[in-house]
Amino acid sequence: MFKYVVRRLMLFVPTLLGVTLIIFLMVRLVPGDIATILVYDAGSLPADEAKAQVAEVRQQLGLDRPIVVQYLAWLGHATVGNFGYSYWEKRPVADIIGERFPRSMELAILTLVLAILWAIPLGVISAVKQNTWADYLVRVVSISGLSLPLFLSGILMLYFLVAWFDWLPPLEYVGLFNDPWVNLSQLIWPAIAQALYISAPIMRLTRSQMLDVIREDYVRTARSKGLGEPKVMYSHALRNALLPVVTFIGWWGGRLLGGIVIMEIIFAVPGMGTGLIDAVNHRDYPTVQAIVLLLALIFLALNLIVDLLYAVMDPRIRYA
Amino acid sequence: MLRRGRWVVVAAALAGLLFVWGPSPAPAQQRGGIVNWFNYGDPGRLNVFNVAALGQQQAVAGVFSGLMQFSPDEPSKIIPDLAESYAETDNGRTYTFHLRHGVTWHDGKPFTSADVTATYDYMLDPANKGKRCTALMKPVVKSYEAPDDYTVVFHLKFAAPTYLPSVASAWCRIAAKHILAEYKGNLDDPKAQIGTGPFMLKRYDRGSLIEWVRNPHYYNPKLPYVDGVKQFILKGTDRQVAAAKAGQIDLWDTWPPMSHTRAMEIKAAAHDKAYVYEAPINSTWEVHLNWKKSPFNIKDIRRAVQLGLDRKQLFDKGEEGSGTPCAILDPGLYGDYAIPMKDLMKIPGCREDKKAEDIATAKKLVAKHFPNGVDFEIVTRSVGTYVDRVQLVADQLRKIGLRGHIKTYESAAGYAAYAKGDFTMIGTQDSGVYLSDPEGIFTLLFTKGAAHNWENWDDPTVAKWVDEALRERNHEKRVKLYRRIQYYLLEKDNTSPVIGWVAGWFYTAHRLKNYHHANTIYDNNTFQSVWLEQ
Repeated sequence: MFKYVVRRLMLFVPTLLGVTLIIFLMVRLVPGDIATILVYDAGSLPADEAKAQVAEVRQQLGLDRPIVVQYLAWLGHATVGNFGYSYWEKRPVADIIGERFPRSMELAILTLVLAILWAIPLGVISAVKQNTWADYLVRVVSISGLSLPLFLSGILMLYFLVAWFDWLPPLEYVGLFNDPWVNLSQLIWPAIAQALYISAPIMRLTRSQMLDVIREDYVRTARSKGLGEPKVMYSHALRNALLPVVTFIGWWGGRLLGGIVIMEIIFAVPGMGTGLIDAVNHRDYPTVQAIVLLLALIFLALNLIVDLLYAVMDPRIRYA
Repeated sequence: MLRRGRWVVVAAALAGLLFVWGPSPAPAQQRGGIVNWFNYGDPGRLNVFNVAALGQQQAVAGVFSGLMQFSPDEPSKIIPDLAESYAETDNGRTYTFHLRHGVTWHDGKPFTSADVTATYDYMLDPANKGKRCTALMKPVVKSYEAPDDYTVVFHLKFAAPTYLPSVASAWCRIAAKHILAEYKGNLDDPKAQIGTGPFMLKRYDRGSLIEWVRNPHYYNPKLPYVDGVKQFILKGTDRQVAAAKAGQIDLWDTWPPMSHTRAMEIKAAAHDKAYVYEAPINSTWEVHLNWKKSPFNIKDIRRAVQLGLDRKQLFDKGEEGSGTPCAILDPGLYGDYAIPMKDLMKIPGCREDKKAEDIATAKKLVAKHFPNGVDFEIVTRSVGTYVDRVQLVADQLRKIGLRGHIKTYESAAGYAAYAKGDFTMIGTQDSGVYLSDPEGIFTLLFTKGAAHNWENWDDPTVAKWVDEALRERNHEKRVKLYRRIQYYLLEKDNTSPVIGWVAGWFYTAHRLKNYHHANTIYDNNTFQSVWLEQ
């Protein structure tokens, strides 16, 4: 097991290197760099003056150096945890991440917990009560959740709160440790809006897995031993049905990170998603690279955790 | 005795009647409360001298003062700020500002003339990437000196009527000499926001909130009335509208202005707690034709665009009717400097009653050079309503034989392409003037080297008249000159046909009192004399 974990961790290195290279090149392929943005900001300078300033800013930021040199320099610093200085905010990128990362993670965890909390029970109910009104209702809810684009469910959630309660969560972001109640009142709504979306396939997968499992011999055996239906369902059927669901949640959790960006903008949560959008808009390369690298790391870690959970859930699986 | 007593009774009764029916006194200003406002983006940088976007300027608008200011109570009037008074001598070529005594910076240090000269040293330093105030001052200011701690004298290159409005503009604030030295000019740092303004920057929670608190040592001890101002960072119109509907913000006076539909939504949701209004903003909407590229290298084709565009229809469809079609200067904002609407509507290309005739002429002009019409690229930046607008423009031009194929740019990439002259036609662009003076739009769009003259058009006639108007101090003569330039630009050849002056919808909550919409969206953002009904 230990060897397996070490081997997986070592695989992180080439994957992350690939990610850094791709993102490094991609942000530079987008037309317009930070120098352009700083100088042409609102188109306020005469053209000749602006051109001269662009060249000067590029030189100051080292953007006039060959791209390989720029990449190696950045990579060298990143390996020791120095992600550089934000071109736009003029402060260490580590400060930006330190400020925004916990907020996004809190929102992501809340979303995932909510999604799992209702998706798995509803998936089970849908399977156990197959072809009843409860099954139809759950299926309609799940398909609706999947069909609604995230930005739309977010906006609908906002308008629902205004129209029905004449209320919106406080605009001023309050940290979890400053006032947990206010913090929850701010984050619960984007979490619900996104959980609706991500819970839909979890619900459907749980249902189909349960439908398969409850027809298995060992479930029949459990029933014939005289075990009660709840015990059969939750101890025998669900535990086995959940294996692919857990894998799926790990993979789908990665999608969650993308959705967080949209939710943060709609609900004014100053997290990594909004930070990333700002950084991309300003071509703040060091910030974009650091945030994407961190997201890639989280994605890889999630997958590793899922693989390890497998062994916990199914004793037959052992990683050699 | 009795008679005298009767008169006393009558006088008392009259006084009572006057009290009841007479003009009611102005409601007393109440102190306290927090104004809830919003910023459409996270400013990131706070150096008011080196930035150009409204979001950055408004972030610290209440923190700094200028020598002069546009009156918060009468937005067109220039009143003293840090200068107690000023004198204009040498036929308008010298301005002497007498500074207030006893003004202190937010960190307690005294304000003197050395701060003013240090600010101008910083702004006019060629090494500094100064933007708006630098752009306003550089062409005009020759030298300046501080003969004593409370006097500053500015010598101008010529007597410029724009000088005083520039001094009063929201961009020309005064920074502390010791702060400029301590931060080596990096005024982006939130800790460097030490001003003399009515409010002090309490915190800048990036991505969430900018908060000001009352400056207890403000030079006018009666102001400000409110305890503080919160600018919530709200991105996206949906979020902004939802906050307005829920009563979370007290006013919407900023960019982006609302559409009529959105304003009515808010009005309906706010019941009687807010009122919405339409007001011109400080922008023209124009298109740009690159005269170095086909087909706009042909004068007739440029004229065809002038004649063929139906400006009213563009405003009706693109901006829900908000704006003044054809206006290079908005009559509501610029008064007699602008061509009156009735006269504007008689100009070919602008006249609604003869639109069909103008379109037919435009078609003929295009057919003369391109009997089968002509294809070209029409670009825009993907911001605000630009992508919708450019389609309307392309659709109208197609009807006269000019087939524009639309290409969109991300905002900054678009500016970069424009600056390089890398376009054939810019299908829609707003040019926001940052000075409440008629000169602003002409030196932004129509003169050689102007920031938005991306096609580098140079008409010596326009240049001469604009320069004359810039130096003309007699109001009547200046009015004549600006009217003449407007007629010339609408009737003759130029590469930036103006669609019109843009307006938008705004709202203020009823509890917010004494707020007056300024002539530019940059001015009157200090909230020094607004108050909240408790």
